[in-house]
Amino acid sequence: MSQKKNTHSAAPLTETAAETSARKSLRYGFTALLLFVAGGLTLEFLHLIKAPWYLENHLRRELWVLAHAHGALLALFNLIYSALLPRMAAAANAGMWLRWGAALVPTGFFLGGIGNAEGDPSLAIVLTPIGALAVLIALALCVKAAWGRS
Amino acid sequence: MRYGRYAHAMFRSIPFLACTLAALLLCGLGGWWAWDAQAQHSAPPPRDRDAFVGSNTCLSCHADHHASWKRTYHRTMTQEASHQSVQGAFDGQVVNAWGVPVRPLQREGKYLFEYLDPNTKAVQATVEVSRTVGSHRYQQYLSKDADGRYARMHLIWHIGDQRWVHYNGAFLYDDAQSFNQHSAVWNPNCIFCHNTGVNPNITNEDALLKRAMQGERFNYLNAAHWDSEVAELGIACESCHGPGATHAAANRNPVRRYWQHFSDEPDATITNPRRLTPARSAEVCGQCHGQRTPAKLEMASEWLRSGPSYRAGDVLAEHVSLVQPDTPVPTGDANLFRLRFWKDGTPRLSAYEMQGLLQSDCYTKGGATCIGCHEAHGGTPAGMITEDNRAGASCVGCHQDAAALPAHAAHAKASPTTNCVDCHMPKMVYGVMEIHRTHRIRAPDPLAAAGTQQPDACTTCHGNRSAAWAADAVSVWRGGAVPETTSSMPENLRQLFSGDPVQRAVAAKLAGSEKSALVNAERAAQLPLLFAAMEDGYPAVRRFAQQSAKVSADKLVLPQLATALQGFDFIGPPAQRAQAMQAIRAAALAPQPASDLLGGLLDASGHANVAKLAELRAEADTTAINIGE
Repeated sequence: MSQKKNTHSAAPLTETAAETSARKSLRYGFTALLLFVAGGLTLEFLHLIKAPWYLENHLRRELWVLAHAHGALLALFNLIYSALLPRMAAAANAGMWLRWGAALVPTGFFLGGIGNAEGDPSLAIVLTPIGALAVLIALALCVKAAWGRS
Repeated sequence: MRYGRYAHAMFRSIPFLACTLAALLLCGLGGWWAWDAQAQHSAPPPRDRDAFVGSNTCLSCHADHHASWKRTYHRTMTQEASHQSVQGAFDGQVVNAWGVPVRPLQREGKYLFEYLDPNTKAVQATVEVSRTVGSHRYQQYLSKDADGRYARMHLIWHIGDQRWVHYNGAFLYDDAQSFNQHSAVWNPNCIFCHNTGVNPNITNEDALLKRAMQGERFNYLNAAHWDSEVAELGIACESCHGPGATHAAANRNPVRRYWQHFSDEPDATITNPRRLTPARSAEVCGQCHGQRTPAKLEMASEWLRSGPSYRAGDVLAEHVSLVQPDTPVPTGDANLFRLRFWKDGTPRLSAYEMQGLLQSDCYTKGGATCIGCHEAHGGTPAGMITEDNRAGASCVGCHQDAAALPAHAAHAKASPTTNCVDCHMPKMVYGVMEIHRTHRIRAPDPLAAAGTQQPDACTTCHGNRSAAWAADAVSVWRGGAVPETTSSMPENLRQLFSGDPVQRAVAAKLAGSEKSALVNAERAAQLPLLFAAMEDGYPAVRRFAQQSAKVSADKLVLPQLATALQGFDFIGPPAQRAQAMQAIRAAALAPQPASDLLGGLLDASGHANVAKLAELRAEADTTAINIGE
């Protein structure tokens, strides 16, 4: 019974930590890519309709572009990570950091552009350096895994 | 041993190390920033000239305000001469100005004026343009000599008219002027209000003083040497916010910045005019938009040596005395300042807006300030005001029930475009070749205005009506008795011929105003009188009369007249102007027999009543009026 269930499950019970991490990053990567590409399209639309609350607020404009760019790039990074993880299973513990980082960095940028002052983002920008730290940790773990013996 | 192994493992853990390091860094930096923010909490803004840091420093934090300032004419008030800044046609075409041919031209990337011999046309002098002043209505040009002196050159470029004009035609002076009448030096004059962080820095004051003490007579402007410096050309951030060095340094601290964002207290390191009292706020603008002299005589020398002492937020009166009609004139024409005001003390020259505001109940009783209507960072660059406020929207903040008043209701019904400022801030101020609104805000009083020889809102708009007619209407609206009408002479036209040069200039400009209440037939009837005004002895009056005639020609759809009017050069030689006038009169429709003789200014055939005009002109105040900038 349980064997049958396992056959049809997306994640077999015997899945290793690396496989789990790769699967989660794959899911996150494609979902985030969809979200942030759509976000880019939205920014273009704001240009199209000349939305003054976006175009005339230089800092918001910059922060949201950064949110779009970082969100999409870090989503791609997650996809690359999930693709390469089978070759460096020791980096499995980097996945969580990478996903959190990839989520927090653009979220900080986006929320920082809401209720922002002229020269400073709103306090939500604090999420960005926290996310950046998480990404750095993920990268460091990947570097460690890449240099380590398999 | 067990704990040691855990510790060893933890310290080998990258996430643990990274988070620990980040937390330590955050605690250290945050603590230092918090301490620094507390220490700098109430640091006052600096006063010395070295504390001016320039608008680029402001840009990094105030991008939106920098952008909104960058589009203003404040920024471009003074600029180095360049392809971007120079607007005049330096095309090599000779301009004849007061008998002297001048050729503006470009050579090797430089902008030059060649002064030619009137007879031989040989080049007598070539002067390079070093800086430009102005970019809105007209642009002036400065040359620099070896003594550091920036001299104002003779021709200005009128941006609206797209033509060269000699200063004699730009200022309110009569025809009897010399070519060099308006020679001026930038260093001890224009520098003060047209730049930021100013230091004229006269370098030989002691020597000049010694020569003067020995009884030597010399031209101060030509003898003085300068090493003038400005923190920034043009009117930049620190003109209105004060020197920014302390502010910029203190706010590199993010803890301080975020504390400020969440605080209602003003930042002590900088001046924000919106956070000042009404008086202090108005004075920020009034430091330049209120013609002034140093508060004490000895300060004049200090200004020339090291620049003016006022900083935004100061009590202006501690640094300057606003010019009033009775302000003593140190040298020259004793009436110099008196002539810059109407007889009741209302300013009639631009750059006296502060004096006008100080005379207004809106300010004295209501606390209205400049930024109640104007916006340094908003509105249209021309006037720095929004279209709503230009139409009087800001008045409604206090005068909420004003629409119900009879005069307001009647105007709203008959002329929906008429607004608060048309009647309460009528155009009666001369400056920069234009007629501007007065900043003395008050209710119209046509008889009092006529009595003090000044224009009033009613009769400049209702150009075919007398002051008595206007007084009747006002009296009825205010619930008073109807006075007996004493004169049918249209007040604006009376002042056009019997007024002093400022009255004549205002009357000439407003006679053809787009917003005039005159219907087309009344405009047509008035045309012969505008043609007569185009023969005035003051170029400015001629120009305004020409403009009014042109507006009327367009409204009456008289293209031949409009074309003929374009052939009239208000500063052209007299014979050329007379010839142009012949063509203009020929192109105009033949006057129709007039039913309204405009108080006798027209004869029965609709022509100008020459005898009556002569009579009025004889009544005119013949005091020569010389009003520069």
